[in-house]
Amino acid sequence: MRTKNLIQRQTNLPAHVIQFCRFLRDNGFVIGIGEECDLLEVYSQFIPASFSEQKDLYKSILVKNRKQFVLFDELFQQYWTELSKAEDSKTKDKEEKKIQPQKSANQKNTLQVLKKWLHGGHVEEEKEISTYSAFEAISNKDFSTFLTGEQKELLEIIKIISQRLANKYSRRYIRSKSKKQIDLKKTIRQSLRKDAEINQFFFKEQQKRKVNLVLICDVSKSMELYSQFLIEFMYSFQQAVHQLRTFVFSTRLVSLSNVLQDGDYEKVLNNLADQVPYWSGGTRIGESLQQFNERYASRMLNKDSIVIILSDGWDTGDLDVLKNAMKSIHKKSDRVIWLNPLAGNPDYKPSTKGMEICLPYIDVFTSAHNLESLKSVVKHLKHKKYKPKF
Amino acid sequence: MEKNKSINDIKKLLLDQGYISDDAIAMSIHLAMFLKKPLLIEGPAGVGKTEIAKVMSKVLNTNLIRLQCYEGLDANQAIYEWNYQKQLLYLKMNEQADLSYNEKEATIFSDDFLMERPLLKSIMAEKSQVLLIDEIDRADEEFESFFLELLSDWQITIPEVGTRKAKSIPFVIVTSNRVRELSEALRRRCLYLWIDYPTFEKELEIVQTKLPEINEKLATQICHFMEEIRQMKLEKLPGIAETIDWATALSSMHIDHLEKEIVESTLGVILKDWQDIRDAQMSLSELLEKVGVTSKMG
Repeated sequence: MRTKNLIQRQTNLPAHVIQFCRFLRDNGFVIGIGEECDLLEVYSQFIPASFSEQKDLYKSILVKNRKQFVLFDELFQQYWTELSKAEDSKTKDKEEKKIQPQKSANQKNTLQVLKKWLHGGHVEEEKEISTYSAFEAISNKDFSTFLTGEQKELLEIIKIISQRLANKYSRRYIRSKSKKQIDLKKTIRQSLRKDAEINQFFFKEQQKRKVNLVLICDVSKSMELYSQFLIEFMYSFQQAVHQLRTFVFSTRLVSLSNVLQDGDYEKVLNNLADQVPYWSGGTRIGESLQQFNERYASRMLNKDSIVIILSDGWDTGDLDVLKNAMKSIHKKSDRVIWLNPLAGNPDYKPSTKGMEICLPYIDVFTSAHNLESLKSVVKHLKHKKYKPKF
Repeated sequence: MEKNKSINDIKKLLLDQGYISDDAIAMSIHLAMFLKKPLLIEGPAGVGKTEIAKVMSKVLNTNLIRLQCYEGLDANQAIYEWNYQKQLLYLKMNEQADLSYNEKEATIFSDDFLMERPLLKSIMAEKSQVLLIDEIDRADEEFESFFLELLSDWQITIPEVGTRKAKSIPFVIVTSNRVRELSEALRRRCLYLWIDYPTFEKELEIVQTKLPEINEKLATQICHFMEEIRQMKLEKLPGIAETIDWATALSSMHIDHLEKEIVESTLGVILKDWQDIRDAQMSLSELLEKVGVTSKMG
């Protein structure tokens, strides 16, 4: 809990209310002048009978969501403790500014880690491929050796994928050229101009729904080989689909949507390094997905959402947690698509424990290790469900 | 209601209508009425969110206008709609009459052809009404924006006729089960209240108020059992509504204490998910032990 501003005993009510609101703002509450006015207006008519009544009063007006509702009591208490402290000793309190400079060193460090992650794993791989098949087309090249020049094609495919995904209909109507359903409202309105003679009908149809996509990528050590592809994939996806939320995880979940929205690829790479301090760590899929459920799912998932998980399914965490997390995601969303880079291998079997547990909660399971396989993803998306036989 | 009612008075008024509240609820209601702001209530299903609106309409002795939200709900269903069929008929009937374009338009876009839906209805009433916007999280996000004009300025703009100002300001209660997060814009305009599962004492009080004739031991056991079962990791936790249903069912069978067989056969009243029922059955003995029911073995 933070207090940027010094808390002091205020002699008049408005100053007091403003000070308290400021204190809450420092702790992440969004409070406008409107709320402050409301408080003062209430005070002009109503004097709380007790301390707890006063707390309820503030709480009713200033709290706007569940998180704040839970936090409020403690903050209120803290505020009053600090106020009484401030009374006891009026001076003291100027030691707050020495935490920041370390950050840049830290940033460099994480950038190094990212660079290593990006290049470390796949340099040899690239050589290997180029020696044994010199004329292999782009489309068969492993993504671990993906070049920036091929971003365009990737972007195209991802655009097709996102269009395919948007195949649900809303219950709202828009104007239509096909003559299925008459739009009475429009027909009458237009006929009025021609002396109420209806000589032309207007039609309506159901609007296609915007998809709500959530992309969750594994960036752990075992995925290192595909790192370049992963970042390209996430970046292109974010460019193609505006309504996309991107997360990455290895042992912990991090939201990347804001970082990826930058148009400049170089900048994105740099910012990525700051955001994810532990590229290629261990894998805890279960814990990470659970974290997603706790923090984001209620806000982001609904019956229109499609969750795309990109991971190889090597999990070192608790399998029960993984199972419950997958179950919950599957229940809350429209479809769960799991792209597994390993599944590209014809001999692949989802035999890792993690993968086995997840399979019942996956609607589409397919590989994504190169452009060709990504094209086949497009094919499978036509079906509501697709799982290859293993 | 008068302006300076104390919080206890409000609690008492609610109690008179059979609603057990607490300080936080009473304070929120008081402030919502005083500031004329909508009250946004969130919480798990079955803790009495909707009930507040019903009770308030009784307390204020006024009508309850209810808008049940669902996916795809649009302005036509929530605010107003023109009666197109009637408009068409009117135009056809008056084809021969020598009316100008303006006259025709003025007629068919008048109150006679306007169908008031809940939101418009609630502000056009002479006496202040209670407006319940139930489960707003089920409606899509676009729908929330319809409310914004109404909730902050108490007016509705109808393009054909102009802006309708409220004749009376309704007491608005918005409920949400947090299926999805509501927009900041809507939150900002409301007072917020979170209602959680009740404490044991509160739940017991509720059961005894709703079912005055219930056996005291049974009521205590039921509330203890509910408290324990909510600690379990279930898909869907039972709310107060379920507690009352269960208590009603058991007391109507003239049962005065819980027994394992009875609980087992009536689990369907409180749990509505197959998996949950199975989980509860598995740990039933343990649950009942915590409640203090000793099962006769054999």
